[in-house]
Amino acid sequence: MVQLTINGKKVSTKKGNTILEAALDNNIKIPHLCHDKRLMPYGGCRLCIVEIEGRKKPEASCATFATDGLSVWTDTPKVIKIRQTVLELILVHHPLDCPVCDKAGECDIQDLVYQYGSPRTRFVAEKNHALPDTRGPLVELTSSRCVLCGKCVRLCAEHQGKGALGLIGRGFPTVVQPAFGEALECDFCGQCIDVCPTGALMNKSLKFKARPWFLEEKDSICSFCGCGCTLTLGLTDGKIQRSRGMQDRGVNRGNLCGRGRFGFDYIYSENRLRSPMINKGGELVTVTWDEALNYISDRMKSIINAHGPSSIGAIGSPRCTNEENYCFQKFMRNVVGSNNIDSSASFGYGLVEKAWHMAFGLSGHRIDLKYPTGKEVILAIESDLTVTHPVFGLNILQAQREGSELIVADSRETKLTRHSTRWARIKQGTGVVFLNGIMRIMMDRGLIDNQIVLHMKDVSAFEETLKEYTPSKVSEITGLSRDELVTITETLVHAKTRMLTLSIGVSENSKGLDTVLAATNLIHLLGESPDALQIPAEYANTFGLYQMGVRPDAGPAYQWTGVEGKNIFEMLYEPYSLKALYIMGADPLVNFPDKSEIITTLKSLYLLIVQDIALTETAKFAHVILPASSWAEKEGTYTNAEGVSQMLPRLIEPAGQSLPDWKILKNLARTMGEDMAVHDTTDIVREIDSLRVKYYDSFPMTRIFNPVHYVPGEEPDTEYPVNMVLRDVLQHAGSMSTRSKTLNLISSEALLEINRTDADRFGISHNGYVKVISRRGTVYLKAAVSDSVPDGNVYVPTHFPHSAVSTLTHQSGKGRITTEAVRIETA
Amino acid sequence: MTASELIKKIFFLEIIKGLGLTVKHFVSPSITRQYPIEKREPVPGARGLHALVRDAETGKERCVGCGLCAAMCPSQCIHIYTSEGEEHQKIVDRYEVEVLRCVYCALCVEACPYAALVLTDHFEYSGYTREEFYYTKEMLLANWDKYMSGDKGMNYIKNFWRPRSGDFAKKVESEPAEKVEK
Ligand code: SF4
Ligand code: SF4
Ligand code: SF4
Ligand code: SF4
Ligand code: SF4
Ligand code: FES
Repeated sequence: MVQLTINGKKVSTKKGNTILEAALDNNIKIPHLCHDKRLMPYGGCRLCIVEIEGRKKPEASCATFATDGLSVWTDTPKVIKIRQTVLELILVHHPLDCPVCDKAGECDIQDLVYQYGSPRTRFVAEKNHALPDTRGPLVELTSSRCVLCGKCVRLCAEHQGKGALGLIGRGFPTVVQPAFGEALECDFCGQCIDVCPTGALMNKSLKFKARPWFLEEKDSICSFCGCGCTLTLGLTDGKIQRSRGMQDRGVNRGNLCGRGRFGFDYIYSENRLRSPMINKGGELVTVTWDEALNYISDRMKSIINAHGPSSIGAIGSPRCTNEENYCFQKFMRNVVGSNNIDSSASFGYGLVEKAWHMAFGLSGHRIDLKYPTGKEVILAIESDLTVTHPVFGLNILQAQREGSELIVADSRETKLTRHSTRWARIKQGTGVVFLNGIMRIMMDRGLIDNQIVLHMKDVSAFEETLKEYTPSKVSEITGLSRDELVTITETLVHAKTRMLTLSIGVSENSKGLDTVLAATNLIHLLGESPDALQIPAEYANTFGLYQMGVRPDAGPAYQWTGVEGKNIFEMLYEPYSLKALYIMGADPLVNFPDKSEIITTLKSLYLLIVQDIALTETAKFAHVILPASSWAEKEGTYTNAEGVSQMLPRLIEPAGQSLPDWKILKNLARTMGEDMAVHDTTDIVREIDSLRVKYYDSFPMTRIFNPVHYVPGEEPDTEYPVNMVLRDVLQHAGSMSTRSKTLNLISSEALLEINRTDADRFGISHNGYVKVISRRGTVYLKAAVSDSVPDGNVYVPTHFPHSAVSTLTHQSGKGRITTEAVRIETA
Repeated sequence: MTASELIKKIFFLEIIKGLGLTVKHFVSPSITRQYPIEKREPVPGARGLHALVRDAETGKERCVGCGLCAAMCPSQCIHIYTSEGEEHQKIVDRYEVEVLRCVYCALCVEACPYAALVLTDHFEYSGYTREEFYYTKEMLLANWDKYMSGDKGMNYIKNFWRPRSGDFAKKVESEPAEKVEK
């Protein structure tokens, strides 16, 4: 700690902090325009100028380190005069079109001029009249209002690792611009909008819609990925108008990705369900709640009577709150009497939990968003966490900037590989071989952590299974040179702190349970603690859903049920295994693999209930559709991938007659003559709390090797010569985000990413439509010719209902790698 | 009791004085106005019903929808809805005043940087429903035409509000208000 005096007050601060940071930490205000906590000191605006005793000239506090014994004065007449002049100079060309500038009211320039500015200006010059650049879809750049603080440019390059903006030119004509003055084409995280102190960079979706002083701001939690970012939502007239991140707020510390910032408007989609509907003779007819619930109750009861409760299944949702998922499983277990309940997590987080249990005997795998910070080596396996979990990804990038060695083993070029210190370009789906190869080298060279490994059973048996992964074989399968593998192994072994990470979920197919198990084996050999494995739960409440017992084998708080119900594979891919299916907040036909197989199952059902916020593809097959309230329309909690449970406030009125899911379940139970004993969410919370006897930490830790062998996905052959890999796109998470008008402006359909060589081979042009044929189906997609993907492979996202990529895919039933072999033709 | 006090009491002098005043007023001209029949000319700058200034050049409202008036209004009776126009300009879709809630403080007029809003001297308005007093943009513009026709409006702004905006200063110079003053 460093001790210094600011304005006569003794303060202390961390070593390495600047005077400005020391002041801000101690609630002393120094005006600043170009400083941002996340960025390197810049010292461009000179507003943070202060006087330091014993130094002749005033200095910029944001670029001067706080040292012991300094005595700083922040508001002397001299510095005030300097600030006044600086502001006067800033305003020489500034258009001051505040009445039509959406920033007015929360504009730093306005505030500073109000505080320091003099009403008269001594410099009269032509105002800057540059027109706004309205070309981009989401971000509007009005360079006339820019004060050249450079924050956007630095944030985009330093913090986001994108570098889409630059300061172009010298002197007066300098402007902030994307390269070559083109329209802004970037990740669309919108972080530049948040940092811009002026109205130069603005959120286009808010343009002229609401003045900041009319926005009522409330915090809520993002409903997309597992990071669980805090969104500060601005409302007018009971409508959410914008979402922004506030510095230091929430687990995200003010960072947001584009989905959280722009994607919330899916709740205003025209596709929203507003009243219950029953399929009467092939047509969906709007009915009253009473009619719908009675209909379900009657059908359910007769099915239970005729076929028993085990003929009824249920699929829960990572978009629903903990309380709702709790009620859902309670409804299934207590009212229906069946353990047939599962969710999309079985394709992703459920596998992690399984591996976690098999390898360490633990439950409730959590990550720590801050974990990457300060780790010597970070190894990411076939994942781009900057896409699946953008805010976690940012922390990885930051760790790399701060000196961590970032090794990325991935088949395609991603933001993570671009920022890696070493990109091991392995072939798609060969993560297991890569990891086994590393372990084999470790074994051979005796680089294992003996203290831990020698106490484990079956070491030799495990070693035996690694025998076949000789460096030459690994090199042949993964395409990685032997030397590279050895270097990576050595780096990993010699590091003192490490992190292994990957993402896994239903929207990806080149990883599976095997990949996670191989990673746990590596953790054992390295003698690392299980925490070193950081695999985030995929969606907003995937973690919570699992904890609440929406799984066939265990109830809430990881209490094993004894009788294992049907899992998602048995429920969806084995036609006639069920008579009734209750789907809450999931769209298997879009998100899950093998659409046609699922359709067969859905058609075989006597009763399909779909409870969702919008008319999903799956809902179109339903007998009864129940409208649910969206995340902003109800209270509840989400538990993020860190295991942190966060409150969702009720912000707006529910759409139409929609109800929160728990209320629907409660009413349905009552209609069926049962009482769920819940009247409001506090009842449910109390009940959940009383159940949390067995929490993740109360399990004793063990260490067990789980040898895995490489099982490739579908191998390409002459008929289907190309590998199809499923990968997420940055703008979407799941399929609900595709109902956001704003996000659709930047990503509205599934693009098939294909290498130039392959494109030439198949005669495909950029942006042209192609026919993709797999053993299961055919779809038409737009092609994006890209050098980021290796040849012989195409990469496709699943999010988009109308792109119907799930028509092409298959599932293995065992959480295996399921890359597809496809054929591509021009359409 | 002194002698003079005694005399006052005996001859009811105080009462006679009082009656004298009554008689004086009885014969002096009346100052009571017979209001609905007899109307008073409002003093210049009186604050009454709202009007949105119609720009002489464009024939449209001068208001740019900055919302400062609505932000200022202590009774929160101004509601503004704006959107982006074809040419990316700001469009005032709706400008509404619940005039019954107005307290005639004229803070809105004072706040407006463009002199786009005035309180006219029309003060007589009555009706049977509240809805009638929910003034829309079109009604407010019509108020300008009706109650602030000719030079009256600009004089009003010039003499009582003098907004600081450079835009306005220029405009006023070229407009009749200035000439009339000279
Ligand atoms: S950036 Fe700030 S000072 Fe400049 S026009 Fe906008 S609100 Fe006014
Ligand atoms: S656009 Fe905004 S953040 Fe970027 S340099 Fe200009 S004022 Fe600063
Ligand atoms: S999608 Fe994930 S990273 Fe992006 S804002 Fe939401 S929670 Fe944060
Ligand atoms: S005069 Fe006062 S109360 Fe009336 S609308 Fe204007 S600001 Fe509001
Ligand atoms: S202050 Fe003036 S310009 Fe702004 S919204 Fe009100 S009337 Fe319109
Ligand atoms: S904040 Fe220090 S120079 Fe800008």
